[in-house]
Amino acid sequence: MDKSGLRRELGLLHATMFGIGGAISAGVFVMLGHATSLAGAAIIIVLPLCGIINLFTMCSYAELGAAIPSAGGEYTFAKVAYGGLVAFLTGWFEWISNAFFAALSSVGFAYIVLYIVPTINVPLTAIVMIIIFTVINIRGVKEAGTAETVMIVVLLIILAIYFLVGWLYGPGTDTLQLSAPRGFLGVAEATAYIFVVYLGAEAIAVTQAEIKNPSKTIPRAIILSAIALIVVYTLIAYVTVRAVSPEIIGKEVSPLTYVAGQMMGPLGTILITIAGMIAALSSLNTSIVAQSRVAYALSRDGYFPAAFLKIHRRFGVPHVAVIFSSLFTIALAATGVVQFVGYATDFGFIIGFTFVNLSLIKLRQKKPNLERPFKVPLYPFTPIAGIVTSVMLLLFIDVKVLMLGAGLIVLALLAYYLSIVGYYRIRIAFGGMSLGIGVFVAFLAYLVETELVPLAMSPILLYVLILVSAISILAGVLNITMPTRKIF
Amino acid sequence: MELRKIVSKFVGVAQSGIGVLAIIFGYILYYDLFDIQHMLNASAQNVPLYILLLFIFGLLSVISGFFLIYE
Repeated sequence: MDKSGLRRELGLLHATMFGIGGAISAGVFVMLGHATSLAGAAIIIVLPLCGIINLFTMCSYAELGAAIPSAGGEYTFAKVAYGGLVAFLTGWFEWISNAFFAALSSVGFAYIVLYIVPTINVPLTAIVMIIIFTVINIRGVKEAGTAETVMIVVLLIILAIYFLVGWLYGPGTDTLQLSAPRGFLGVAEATAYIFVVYLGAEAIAVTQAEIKNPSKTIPRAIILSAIALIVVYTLIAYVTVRAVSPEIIGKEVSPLTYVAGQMMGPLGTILITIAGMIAALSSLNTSIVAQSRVAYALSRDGYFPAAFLKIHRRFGVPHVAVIFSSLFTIALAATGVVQFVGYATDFGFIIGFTFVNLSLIKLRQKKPNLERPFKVPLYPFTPIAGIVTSVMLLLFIDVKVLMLGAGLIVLALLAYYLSIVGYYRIRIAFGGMSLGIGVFVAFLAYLVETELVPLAMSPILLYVLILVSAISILAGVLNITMPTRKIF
Repeated sequence: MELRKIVSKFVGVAQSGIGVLAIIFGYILYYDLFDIQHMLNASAQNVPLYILLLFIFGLLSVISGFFLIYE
């Protein structure tokens, strides 16, 4: 057991599957179409290129994860390297992007099910899946790891069938021309667009406090999953553009399903649909684990409420953090808005990548004698390449993403300010707001009752307003006159 | 002091409950379940404003209520 109370139960297989499962989401099943319309057949080069860019930063994760194997991943690295606001920003983006990613995965799953059962309610299906995986996560990290391993093994088997059938029996020739209709710009845009399919593998670092023999397992699992992703994605892209021309793939909403249907008939369509569902669920599982561990680490340092530090006696997991994070995800998934959630996920992860590389450089200078079981090769080229490529990806991302990112930074600064301003002041502020709302509602009820405002309102609604006003005023008074005792 | 604690818990639970109900009502209004927009005579143009107000009110109430529950 770790000093924190978290149990070290994840071996190399479980950890690697967390990495692969965190990255292979429903994204690759739908994004390949637009990426191919940008890069043409050169998509076969784009995917390994993205993988190499990802590998630069994954090397940094491997070094830092093995050297500082406590809960929190990127947040913990930034805390040791910089502390203060930089650490908080890293943790904030890590937490929020995992929450958005979990919502994205659950909504993505619901949309795939909608393809088969057109009568289902998308937000409700997404919420039910979040609840199921929250229960699995509360049962223990080993159970979550086992569920992940089973899902990824089935997913990889289906993708292997897709590749083998496409390679051995699929249409197309062996003389595939790697042409890019829009030239270098198209390739660059496709790289920025489809890079997200590699995001999520860093979930290994977030669960590092629960990994057995962390100094060896963490770097191996991170590098193994990063390489496995390159191989899987490249083979899928190769078979896809070999079987059907890039022009046709570019127009398809779900290109893999279309190509599988062309190669294997209805069976292929069903298999790839099942694979898409599994991929969405595995990334949902990983992101629930990741966001709860980040919330745990942030509360350990006083940024989030201390209740998140509670470890379940029987299952050895931070159950309060898991439940709170899942409730937040449910609120996001209930909107059913995929595009907004997708944008927020990309921005958060890319910012996280940049901070991890910066933390590595800082720690090499600040703590040269820190025991590092794994060292990034070609230092400082590798982390600098990781930073440059991450920033370049931001340049190619839609302006709306950057606007949203700016909004998330403002929210983060507000949360940071609230966390350092102190419990008593925050409580007095909320007491004041509650009192103000109560007085306002009472005034509104008075205006309606005396007919000074001509608003048709049933007597029951008026009583509800009076009750809400009374409770808000009472709550405001109680919060302002709180006993002086520290709670958080 | 004990009485204050009991009152705080009671008011906290009530306020949090009101907050949660306000947020749920916001969702019902957003998805127009039970034809609620027509029932309340709310024009579709003003719905985002109502939802925003309900969410802010709901969130403030839940947080304020939690402060009292965990006093």
